[in-house]
Parts: sequence; structure tokens; C-alpha cells
Amino acid sequence: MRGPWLVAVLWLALAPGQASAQSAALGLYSEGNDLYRGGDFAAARTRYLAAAATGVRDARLFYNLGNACFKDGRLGEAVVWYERARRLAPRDEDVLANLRFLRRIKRDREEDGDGGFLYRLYQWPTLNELFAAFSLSLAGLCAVAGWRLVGAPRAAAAVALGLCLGGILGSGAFAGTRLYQEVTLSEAVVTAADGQARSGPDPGQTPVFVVHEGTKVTVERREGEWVLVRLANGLGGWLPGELVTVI
Amino acid sequence: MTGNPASARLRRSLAALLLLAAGPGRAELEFTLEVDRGSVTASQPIQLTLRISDVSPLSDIASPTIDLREFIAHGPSVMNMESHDRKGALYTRELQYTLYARNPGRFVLGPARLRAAGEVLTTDQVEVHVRGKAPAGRTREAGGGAGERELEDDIFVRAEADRDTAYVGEQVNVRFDLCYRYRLRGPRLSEVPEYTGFWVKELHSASRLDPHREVIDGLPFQVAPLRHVALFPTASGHQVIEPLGLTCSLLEDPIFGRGRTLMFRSEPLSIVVRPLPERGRPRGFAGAVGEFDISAEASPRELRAGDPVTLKVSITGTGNVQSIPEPVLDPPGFEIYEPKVKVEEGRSADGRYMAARHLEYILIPEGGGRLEIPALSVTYFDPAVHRYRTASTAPIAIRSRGGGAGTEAGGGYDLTRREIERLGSDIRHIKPDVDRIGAAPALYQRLWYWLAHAVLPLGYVALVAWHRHRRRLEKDTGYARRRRSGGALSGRLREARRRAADGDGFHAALQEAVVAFIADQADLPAPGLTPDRCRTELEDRGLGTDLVDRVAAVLERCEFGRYSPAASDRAAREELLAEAEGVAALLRKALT
Repeated sequence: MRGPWLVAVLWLALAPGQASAQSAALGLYSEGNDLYRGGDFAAARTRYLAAAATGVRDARLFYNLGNACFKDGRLGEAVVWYERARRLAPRDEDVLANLRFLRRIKRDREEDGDGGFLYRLYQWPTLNELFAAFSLSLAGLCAVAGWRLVGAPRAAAAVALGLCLGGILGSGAFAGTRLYQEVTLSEAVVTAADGQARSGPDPGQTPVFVVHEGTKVTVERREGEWVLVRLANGLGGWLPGELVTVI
Repeated sequence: MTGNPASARLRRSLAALLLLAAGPGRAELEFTLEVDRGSVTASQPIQLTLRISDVSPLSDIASPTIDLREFIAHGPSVMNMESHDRKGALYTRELQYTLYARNPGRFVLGPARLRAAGEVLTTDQVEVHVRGKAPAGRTREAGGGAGERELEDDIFVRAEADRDTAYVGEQVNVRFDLCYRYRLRGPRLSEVPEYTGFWVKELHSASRLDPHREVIDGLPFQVAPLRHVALFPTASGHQVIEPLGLTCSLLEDPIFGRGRTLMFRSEPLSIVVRPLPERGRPRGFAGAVGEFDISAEASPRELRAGDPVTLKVSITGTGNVQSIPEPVLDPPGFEIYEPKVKVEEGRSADGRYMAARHLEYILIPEGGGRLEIPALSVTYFDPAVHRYRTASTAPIAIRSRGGGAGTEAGGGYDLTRREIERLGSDIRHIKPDVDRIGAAPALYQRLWYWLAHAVLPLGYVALVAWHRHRRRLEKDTGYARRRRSGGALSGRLREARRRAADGDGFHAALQEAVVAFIADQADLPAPGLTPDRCRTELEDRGLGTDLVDRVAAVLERCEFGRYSPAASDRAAREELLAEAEGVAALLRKALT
């Protein structure tokens, strides 16, 4: 009995704070837009960053912040914010177009490019859509089972049950994989002009490759101030942590 | 042993007093320097020993210092010893260095310094003579007299450069070979030049000796290539390539496998680097020196507007291709993408470094018609002819279909239709202002979402229960009568109430209501159910005597009223109805 009460109390306690954060973020977002339109990209970036610092997660805010970073000459940071926007709105044409544009102009050519058909398909639905599909499939399964109780034809019910079970397993596995990736896989972007990856977490180790601003990497491990990163082509090396920003 | 210097000093003082009391004895602290030989050749090692002796343990003695800059020093290896005789204990520490001279000459080793108990002790100096190596294969006029060969005449590292004068950026090939006439064991590089002032490309590095026979000054030698590097001077002036050193063991006693370790170093090489001439230096020259060529190939040459053309450009030559910038490619009418760059490195027939830089561009014709990829060129300095040269490709024609300018004329209007000209590209504009900001938390982060999933199976369980209930109503008449008896009783009592006003059929309706309820509960036919049978059925179901008596009394009064309706007035009927309703409520509670 204490659970629902606790949730209600927490909601009542946090709701006003969330509302005021959203209100502040909205004001900063509008100010950033005005500054951007006026050509003051550095100031616009500052406003957008302040809006993002309130904790508000919004694809439009992240997208505009990416634009301001790019216009302010921060290509790597722009990629970070576009990628964050893409996680919230994976089918937003503006976000995808700007990411394509940045991929074309940055120095390192990444092998995944647009990611190919399968990768785009994998990124197409949002997590909410996947969880909704899972719930609908579950509801459908219960409904079909009930239908069968009240005399539905055996064959039709079997087909419907199969479809619902497929929906549950497919959407559940898909949602689980995506959620696991978002929670555990640490993707990052090189935000310094360039960085020399080494064979170990020490400046004295052998340099193994050079990455440039805007390149997307996967962070596999941290050791002190160093991170072990892996490129899309499988190359791995240690970079100073301050050279990359986690998406 | 303690490491406290004060207590060590005290111990030493006490030991000295005891020694003085005991008469003439050994000195308190001795520090000496020794070498195993005073004259060596350049390859031979000198064993230098620093020895510290004291009557007290040496645990708190610091390491001695000595200037060994003129030598390549290995070590020290440290050995601690303790001996006892009639004069007492003696503690000795020996530090042994193996030294190889960097250059021939006379050198003074020492003094070595040792700081102990607040004082600085110094050793004597020792002079050593390192004899220089004569040119390979020639006998030396040395201590042994004319005609005597030194070891360095039969084992040496040879360094050769293909030129001693070069331009800045010009390739200089340097080879290091080990030449020897003895069996060697465990050769390993102990000193590698840093090539300061050069950009370096290593062409060969031996992992083991792979010798061939060569006659040097009339004597057969085994010659094993050690290293081969291509050097590109980065600044003009007098540049020096430092020696390469190799350590190996020379087998002296093949039966017992004994040998001695020696070090051989090549002679330093000197290169005079000249600056590139200012005269005739073309615009766009970026520092490439050597001999280069450029080629270009496009495919397809005929295509539709919007389809890609692949342009492959290759720059090859004997020089540093990395120093050549990407050719300027800006053909009108094409959209150009960043090229893919690949560098291939190799060696020419004469062993010199050569490389090819392949650039693959994607060009997309923006319109139709005849387009042209203009000539591409590379400017470099050719040291063989001492002048600047330019290598160029021929222009490439591309025919693009499906676009281009077209003219429609008619009705006196001059209408010109053209392809839209693309001026540039940029990121898309920002999103507009909004009324609300902030995405709602994801579904999986909400409590109600997961609670809703619990409702689904519960609903299904309810559906199953309802379905079973319906099936039982259809198949089990007793269950169906019991389930419906409550509703039927209420209906019949309402009918009896309606008749209570005028009394017409009141008693019969009331009796039927009660009897039918008992019949439904007992699953018996109502017509044959007399008041006595009702009493028996109720008693069989364990109802209390009071309630059974009250039911029997109601039925009896109804029976009486049916046959003499005039005997009961309205008030009596209301009272009987109330009693019947009370009894019915108790029966419902007791039986259902």
C-alpha cells in the first residue's frame, strides 16, 4: 500500500520542479533561436547549452544546439548533439540530413556512412514505439485467447495467436536490444581537432592511429584519464579522455 | 641493519676507536676505482670496478657517481660481500660497469665520488687508451708491430651512404652491414642512430643475420645487411648520421662454449645538405624533391546527369610523395566529394624508396552536355637535373546526358529553361520556436505502463471465470435455479406487495414466492412442495428451529388466508408481508 502513495508524493514533490525547468528551458531555447537568427552563433550555443543543462531532453533543442555548434566551428560537438537528437527522433529528416552533411565534410571517412539499409531499419522505430508494439501484441494475445474461449474458429485463432506471439517476441527482443545498447554501449565522438590513439593508456606508448574531429567511436574501457576506443572498422586504441565526448 | 646515519656514524666511530685500541689495523672506509685493462680496441669492453670497503655494514651508503659520458656504459652490476678474519668483519660492495668507447683516443676515468657520513670520498683517476680502427681489411701499425691485424679489421659495422651531398628533401640511402670473418653469437643492436635532421623511411631491418660472401680488400668476408634506410634531409647544412652499434659474443673456446662480448660501431657519416635553389621556383611548389609522375583516369566517360564519375589520380615517384599536396581539382559543372587516399610504398629496382599515392574522387555532373576535367599537375624539384619540373595529365572529356541548356520558342516569347545552378551546400536551418519543450519520459520508465500489463492477464482470468459460469448455468439446472432464486423471490414479493392493497390473490402470491424460493434452493418441483415438506427440507439443510418455525407460520397464515380472504384486513396483510420479507431475507442469507 505504501508504493502508490510514495509515487504520488514524489510526483507531487517533483512536478513543480520539472515544470519550472521546462519553463526556463523554453525561454532559453527561444533566446537561442533569436541569437542564431541574428548570426551570433556562439551566444546561441551558450543559451541552448543552458537549456540542455536544465535536464530537459528534446530533439529540437539538441538539433538546434548541433546547428549552433557547427556554425561556431565546433564540428565534433555538433555531431554529439545531432546524435543525441537522433536518439530521440530517429526519423527526423533535418537531423539525418545534417549528420550526412557533417559526415561529408569531416576529415575521417567512416565506413558505416549512412549505415546501410539494415542499420537504418534498426534505427527507424523509437523505443516508445517498440514498447507500444510489445504492449499491443500482449493485449492482442489476451484478446485472441478470450475470443477462442467464446468459440472462435480454431484455425483463425491459431493464426491470430501466432501473429501475436511473434509480435511479442519480435518487439520484445527488438526493444530489449535497443534499450541494452542505449544503456550499456557507450558511443562517443572525437571533439578535439585530432587525437593520436596509442597502444596503451600512457603518452609513451606506441601511436597506432590518428582520429580527427567528428569521428564516432565506441568507448570500451576507461583507465584513469584515458579511454579505450574502437572505430567502426575494428581498430582500437587509447585516447586521452578529454578528446572525446560521450553521446 | 638500521638506516639511521647518526647511529651509523656512531658505530663507525666506535669501530675506529676499537681498531685504534687494538693497534695498527685496516682503514675504516675505503673507496677505490679499478679497470681490467689500460689499452683496448674500440670493440673491446673495459671492466670498471668501484669498490667500497668498511668495517661497518654498508646498508646506508649512497651510490657513488662517476662521469662516463665518453663511453657506452652497461651496468652497474652490484655485488655485496662480507668477510671475517682475526681483525674483525670487513664489508665490501663492488659496482661493475662494462664500458665501450664511443671514439678512439685517450680517456681519463674518474675520479668517482662517494658521499658517506657527511664527507665526500674520491678515488684516483685511471687513464685508458682506446685504439682506433684502421680501414677495413688493412693491417695496422700497432703495438704488436707491422702486419698485425686487430680484431676490428675482421669484424666491423660498415655504414655507407649513396651520396655525401644532397638537396633538402632529396633521398639519401644509407645501408649498415655487419662484415665479419669469425663465428658470432647473439648479435643484437645496442645503439641505433636517431637520424636527427632527416625524415626517415626504413626499407629493411634485419631480424637475424643473413650473410652473403664478399671480398673486401682481397679477403673473404661474410657481409650481413643490418639496416637500410631512406633519409630525406629536412634542413640544409652539415648533417651527421650517428653510428649504429651492435653487440655480439665471439666464441673463443668452442669446446666449453666460452666467449667474450664485444661491441662494434659504425663510423659516423657526414652529409652536406644544400638548400633548394630559389631561382626558377614555381608557384605552388610544396617541397617535393625527386622524380615524380602523375596519371588520371575517369570512368565512365558517358553518363546521365546526376550519375557519379570515378576519377582515379595516381602520383608515383622516387621521393616523399607525402610532401606533395592533393592536386587542385575544381572542374566547373561537377559536384566533388572528398577523395579516398591510399599510399603504396615499395623499392625500385636499384633499392631506392619509391611510393605511389592514389586518390579516388567521386564527381557528379550537375547538368548535361560536354564537360571537362582539366589537366592536373604536380610540381617538384628534380635533383638529377638541378631544376624544377612539372608533370601533368591530359584533360578528360565527360559527356553527360539528360540535362543541359535547352530553349523553347513559341508564340513570340523567348523562354529559356535551364538547369538549376547549385551554388553551395550547408546544414539545414534550426527548428522554430515552440510552445512546449521537453520530451515525456519513455514508456518503459513509467509505472502505469507496467501496471497496465498486469491488467491484461487479470482480465483474461475474469473472462475465463465468466465463461465457466455461463457453461454451468447451461448444464447444471440446480446451480441455475439457485443462482436465479434470489431474483425470482424479489420479483414475486413485489407482486405480492402490489396485491396487498386489495387482497386479491395476495396470499397465493406470497405463498408461491416463499415456496418457489425453497424449491429453487432445494432443486425440487414447486407444485408438490407442501408446508410440511418445506419444513423437512429446511431442517435437512440445518436451518435453526426459530427460522423454520417462522417460515412454517408464514406458510400456514398464507394457506389460511387463501381460503378465508375476508378474515384478514389490509393491516394484517401488510404485517404478513413484512414478516414474509423478513423471513425471505433470512432464508436468502442462510441458503445462498
